[in-house]
Amino acid sequence: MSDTSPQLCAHDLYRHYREAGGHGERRVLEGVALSARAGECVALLGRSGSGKSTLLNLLAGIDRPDRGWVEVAGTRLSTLGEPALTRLRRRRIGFIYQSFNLIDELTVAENIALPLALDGVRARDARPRIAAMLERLGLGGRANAFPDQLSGGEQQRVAIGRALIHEPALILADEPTGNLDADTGARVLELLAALFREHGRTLVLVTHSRAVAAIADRVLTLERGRLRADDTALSW
Amino acid sequence: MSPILIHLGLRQLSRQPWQAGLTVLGIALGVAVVVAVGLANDSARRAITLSVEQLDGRASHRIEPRGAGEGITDATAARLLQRLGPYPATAVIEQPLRLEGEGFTLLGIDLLQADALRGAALATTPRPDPARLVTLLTEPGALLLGATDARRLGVAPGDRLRLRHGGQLYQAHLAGVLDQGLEGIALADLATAQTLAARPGRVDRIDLVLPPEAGAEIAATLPPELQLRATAGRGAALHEMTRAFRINLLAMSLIALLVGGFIVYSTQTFAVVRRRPQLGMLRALGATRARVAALILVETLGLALIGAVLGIGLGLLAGQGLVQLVARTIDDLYFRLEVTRLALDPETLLLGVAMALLVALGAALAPALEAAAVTPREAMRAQGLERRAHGWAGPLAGLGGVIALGGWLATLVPGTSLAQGFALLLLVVLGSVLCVPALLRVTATALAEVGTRLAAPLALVLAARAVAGSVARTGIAAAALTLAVATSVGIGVMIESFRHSVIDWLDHTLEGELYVTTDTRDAVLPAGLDDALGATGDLASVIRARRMAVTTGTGEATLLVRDRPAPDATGPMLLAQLDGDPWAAGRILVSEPYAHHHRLAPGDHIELATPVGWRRFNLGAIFRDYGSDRGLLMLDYREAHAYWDEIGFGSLALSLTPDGDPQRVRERVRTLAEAHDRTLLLTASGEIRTLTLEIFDRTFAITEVLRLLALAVAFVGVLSALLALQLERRRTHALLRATGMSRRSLTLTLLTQGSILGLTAGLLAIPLGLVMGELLIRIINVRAFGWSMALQIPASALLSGPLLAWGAALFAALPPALRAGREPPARGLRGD
Ligand SMILES: Nc1ncnc2c1ncn2[C@@H]1O[C@H](COP(=O)(O)OP(=O)(O)OP(=O)(O)O)[C@@H](O)[C@H]1O
Ligand SMILES: [Mg+2]
Repeated sequence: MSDTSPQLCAHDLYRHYREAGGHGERRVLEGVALSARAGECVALLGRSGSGKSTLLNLLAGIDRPDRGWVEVAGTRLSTLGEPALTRLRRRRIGFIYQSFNLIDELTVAENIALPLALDGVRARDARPRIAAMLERLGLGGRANAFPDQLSGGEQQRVAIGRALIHEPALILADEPTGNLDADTGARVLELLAALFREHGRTLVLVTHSRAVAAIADRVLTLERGRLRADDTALSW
Repeated sequence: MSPILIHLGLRQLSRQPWQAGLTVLGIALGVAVVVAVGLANDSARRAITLSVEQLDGRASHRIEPRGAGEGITDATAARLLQRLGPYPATAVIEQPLRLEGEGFTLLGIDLLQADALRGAALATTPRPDPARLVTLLTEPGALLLGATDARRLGVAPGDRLRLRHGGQLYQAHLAGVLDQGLEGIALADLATAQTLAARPGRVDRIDLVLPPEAGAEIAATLPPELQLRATAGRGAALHEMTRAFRINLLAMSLIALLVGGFIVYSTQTFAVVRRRPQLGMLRALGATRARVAALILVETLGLALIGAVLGIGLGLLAGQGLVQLVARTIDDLYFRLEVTRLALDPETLLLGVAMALLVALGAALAPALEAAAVTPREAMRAQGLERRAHGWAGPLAGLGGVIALGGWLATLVPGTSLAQGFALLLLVVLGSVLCVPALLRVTATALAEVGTRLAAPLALVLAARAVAGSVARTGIAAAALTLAVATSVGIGVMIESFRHSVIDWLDHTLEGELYVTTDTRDAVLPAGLDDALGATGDLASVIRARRMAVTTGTGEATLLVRDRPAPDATGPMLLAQLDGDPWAAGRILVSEPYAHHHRLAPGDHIELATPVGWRRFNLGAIFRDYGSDRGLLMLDYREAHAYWDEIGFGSLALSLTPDGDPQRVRERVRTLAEAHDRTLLLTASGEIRTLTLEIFDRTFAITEVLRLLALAVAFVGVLSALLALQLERRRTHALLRATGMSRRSLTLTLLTQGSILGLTAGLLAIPLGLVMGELLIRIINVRAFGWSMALQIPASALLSGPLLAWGAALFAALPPALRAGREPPARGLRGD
């Protein structure tokens, strides 16, 4: 896979929601186009309610657009049936949400191992990778803890580990530090950036914070249903 | 309650209609079972009262033969009636028969006396002048029917009626229709009835109205073979006879209501969990704890009321079918009973509704307190409840264990109260059920542990952990399921043990291969029949038997006078006996229920009123008898002859010699029947056995229905718990799907959850079911009926218990599992 070929490509995405009550439509995305190369980090800014999470869901194959298409690592998502899409998610995509990212019933190690387990990787083969990842995340001693025994920052680190363990082509992060205090948030973000650089794939990062956006190669703003390049970011 | 809060409650309910629906359904099903059983019981009881009143009319007393003999001769009756001069009295014939194919009782009385004895009962349509009425009614074959019956049969005055009894057809006609009263009764003049009942020259008894003080004087003038009895006790005795049966049914219906309580608990707890943020907000805005708790209680009460109303409707519907089942059982076990009208006592209705509301409130108490405990800053998740569940499951199990053990130990203390027996049974069951959440958690945790070690499929580990992690929900559902299945297993064990014991008993009791009886109840066989049959070489032994009503020192009883069993025959099953021959002179045998009710043991004394005065007998042995729950006395035929000169026999038990030919015996009986111009019935012991078991199975058909109902209620409980769990865990499921878990795997995970819950509940139900069965046998049956039986554990009940629980849980897991699989992950992630 060449570094210049786009790992992620979205074309003319539309997504409308029916208003509660059944009448009228809420037009959230109206012709969004986006493309990102391998190794590139794109930050996504926008007001609350502008449709950032909606877009991320479309990119992750969790939701389907009303119009337009998404390609991840050369595969067009709309051509896939539900099972194939699911398979693609667990092999090619990793994501991190603002909070409640983890499965309460699984330990830290199991949460991180989840994409591998779902993909049928044998526990024996997965173990060294998990151990290495735990070390890298600074969670070496907490492998068998359950999520409700972790602090918010630790939980987000586990989520990062889970999003990266299977070396996905595309990592999507929806305000990964939004729920953390500034200090912890900064450290988590550092970790995400570092890991992302090591594994060298594509990262799309939704944030409200310009400081966070600073780690990105490119900053885009979602406004009135469309994406535009953020000039302020360039002027920095 | 402020309008805003009510509004909030209603809005939230309408957003979660299934949750409100399940609460309503849980209560409705519980109430329906109680009402249906109540309807059946009350209708049966009303029918008993009605039939007794109709047959006895206003008569305060009756004069009847003392046990032996075929009724009273016309001559004796006439003499007595003359002596009774000033008091209204009539000779009576009573004969059960089929009229136009339906069961009726032919009642023959002196119609001229009828008004005094039966009040307005004789107002007829058409209304002829009194003189013509007499001619009309004294015509041969003239009958009167009640208006309801006549309408149902579609007959009008003047129409022919076909009567049948004892295999014989009789012709009669409808002379008039009674405006009111009489149901299931065909009224005729005495002479007509004697003809139609094929009992010329004899009457069954004399009914009379006596002032209380005249009783003793009349009794003193009676010939020794007759006795005077007050009729007031008859209805009471019938009620008493069927009471235990009815209590059993009621107790079972309450179990269904209890299971309904579990549903209320689990759905309302879920409601609280869901509303945690709003409740926290309300508290922050200044709502007191009491108010928040009241919010939940009022809501539950409202839902329970709706459920109760629905349940009443449902119960009335279901009750129609149940009435027939109960009536048939009473008919089989006790006496002819035709229930033509449904009746439901307001008290039964009130009991059902009150119990439902009480159960619902009790069940909602925990969630209400839970709601009150929500702090204003409460977090978004269900963790509060679960964290606390981890805290309470253990102590709850401890408490339950102590209650169960205490209840069980208390059953070891001898007692006779049926209500107390049920209370102890309830303690044992409830106590055990309280242990279920903790046991489920232990099981699921262990399963997850083993699964992790063995690198089992993720679905199993996830499911086991989810079950263990949400015992507040799954534990309660499992408890309800355990309760229902254990009840099913327990009753299965009891019925199977009972059935085995009955078969065993039949094998002992049916001493002959062939039985000779007559068609009419209480009639005697022609004298000399025993010798005539015994003279043939085909028979090894002939045992005569005669059942008669006797008076003992403690009340009325049934005495079976019979030949002692042949030396090499088994004879009745003796449960306890004195040393030596229990049939020896001066000794009497009593059945187990009789000994139980009168607290008798071998060696005790029983006094019997005989034609030659009171006689004292030594209780020689107690024998097993499931034929009557009131009990039976048994006396050697030869010994009885010393007191009754004319005993006769109502049945003969014939045992064949090894090379005896049953066909020849059959022929011989037929010839003898013709010679005596009597109908003689020859029944093989196999037929009796089959018939008895048929009746047995029919008796327990109703328990079968109730078992299924309890299971249905439990099913709703599991469904509600799993639906709640699925909703609660939507985000987790969405995360799994987003991470790449396939729909199938997610569905499978949820089905595995259901399976773990169901199988654990099913396995726990086995020991609890066995304990229930043992208690039903050792305590309830003995106290209710006086019957003991050997515990029999049917493999089928043990196997079907877990399978049933598993099936129910799996089936209940299906809707939430499919729903979780179908839900788009994007929606679950948004969490709305
Ligand atoms: N399933 C849905 N049904 C109806 N409307 C929806 C749905 N999902 C999102 N919306 C609407 O679409 C708009 C965009 O939502 P989205 O969650 O994408 O915003 P966002 O940019 O992520 O906001 P935030 O920064 O607050 O997270 C919102 O106005 C929201 O109300
Ligand atoms: Mg968002």
